[in-house]
Amino acid sequence: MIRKLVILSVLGAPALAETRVSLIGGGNTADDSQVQIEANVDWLQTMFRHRNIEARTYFGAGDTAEPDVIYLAPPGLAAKDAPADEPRVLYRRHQLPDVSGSTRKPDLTEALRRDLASLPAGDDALVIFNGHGGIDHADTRNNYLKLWDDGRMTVSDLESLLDAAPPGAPVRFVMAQCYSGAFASLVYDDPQTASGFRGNRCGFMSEAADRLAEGCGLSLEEAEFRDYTTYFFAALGGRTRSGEPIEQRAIDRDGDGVVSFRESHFYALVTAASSDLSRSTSEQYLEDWSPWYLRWDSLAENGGSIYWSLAEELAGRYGWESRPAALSVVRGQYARALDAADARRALAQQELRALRAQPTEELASGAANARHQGLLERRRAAETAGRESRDVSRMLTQVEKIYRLRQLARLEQALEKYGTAAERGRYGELVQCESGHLSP
Amino acid sequence: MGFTLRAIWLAALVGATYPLAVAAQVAFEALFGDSLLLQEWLHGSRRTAAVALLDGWVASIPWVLGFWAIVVLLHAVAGAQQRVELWALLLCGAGLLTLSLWLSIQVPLLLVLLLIAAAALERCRVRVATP
Repeated sequence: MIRKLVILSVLGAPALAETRVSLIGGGNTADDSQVQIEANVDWLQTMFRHRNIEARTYFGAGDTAEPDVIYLAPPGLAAKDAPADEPRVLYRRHQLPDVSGSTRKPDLTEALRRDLASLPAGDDALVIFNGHGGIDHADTRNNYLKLWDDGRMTVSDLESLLDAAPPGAPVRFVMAQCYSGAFASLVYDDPQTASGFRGNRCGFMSEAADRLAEGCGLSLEEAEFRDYTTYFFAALGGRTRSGEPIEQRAIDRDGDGVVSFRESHFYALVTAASSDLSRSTSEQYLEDWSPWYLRWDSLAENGGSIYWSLAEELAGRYGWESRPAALSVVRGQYARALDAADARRALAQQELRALRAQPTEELASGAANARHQGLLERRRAAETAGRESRDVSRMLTQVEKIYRLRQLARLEQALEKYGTAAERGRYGELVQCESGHLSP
Repeated sequence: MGFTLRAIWLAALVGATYPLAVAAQVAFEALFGDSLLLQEWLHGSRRTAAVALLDGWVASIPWVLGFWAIVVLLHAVAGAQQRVELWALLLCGAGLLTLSLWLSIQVPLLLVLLLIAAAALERCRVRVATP
């Protein structure tokens, strides 16, 4: 009797919504398919497996034996086989389990269409891209994903694929590649003209449409990973990349016991000490909506906005004031330091090139040793300046993030004041979509 | 003054409306808090600031033409009582500013300043055109 009741109650219960993940990764060629991308995809696969979430993975060359990962050779091997002034790189096939296919454009197009079309009623889709992005300098609305064999999938291409999902099914995307901001237009049926708004689509992008993103290194030191994926999914999974648990109130801001995609994005915004100016579709909507007469409106304050709190929190982490007058001094210092580091790096690289161009055949052994020593020194100088430039650029980005967060808070208020009901409704739909979470 | 010269003078004044209003906004905001535009120019990217100013200048054209139409019409209607017209506009602008700044009424500051700038520049047109 009890058994019957249990079976009946299970059958009678409403089916729980599930998140179906399409995880796309890898570079466009073996030379551009850095091991960090593979490590990210592997980490995400593990996280989804632990949470019993169905994830289909598409990576590089797929199941073929073709090498599709590039990595740094171990130090001993590099010293033996390679010129001392250049790092040695090696190639291999990816080591990911359960790869459903390659990211060649025809294969991926077919696979994504199939995944989305077969989405069961009530479930939601999550499309994740971990790879490289390209920019169309003439019009960033034509930015694209770089796919295996040098394929390109533009914003419009991907948008037409997302149409395969059942109407009304929430479709979310996380784009961690360079120039990914352009993909915010996926919320429109026609990304070119920003028409045909789709309130059930939303996403998160690592960078603006015209900026390079972090990531894609050849090193496997995960503690050093600072890409958007690392922070965003750490919050969703509740653990950092190195496996340490994250304090719940740092990720679950509304305290409802579930970490939403939006909350994960907020965690990434505040925590990522990187050079990424990450954004969500609702944030991009606010910025695109912003009328010309509000662009530099500096008087409004909006302490009630989450973005205002995030700006304060971020400024507090670095011991800065969030007021632009105070912050602009810090910004100026970092901007000058960045220029100086870039100039030093350019000079070292120029000297390195000049030294490499010298003919080596006629050099006596003493002169050859001196040249070798010079090459090493200049390479070290270029690397040091490069590291300084990267670190300063990351700090400068934190300042710019604070400016942007305050501006978003102002725009939220301005939309409430000056926006039409339809505009406010669209923003609300995007925020609602972004506030969803991984299921189960 | 010939027609062509007067037309050029009018176009120059209309073109100067947006920069004048933005300059007033920067001064206002610097006085009451922080001016983002000024900070961007001094410590950020001058290119960003310049591009945004140019974009704003182009986008403001319909509004500027509208405000100019209002002040020129007011001027025509006021006839000999030109000071009344000017004071009416300036009082209106000041009132809107007060509402916007202290009473949080929904009037974008820059639009109010555009109206005031148009009114002030229209006076220059009148002075030059009427010896």
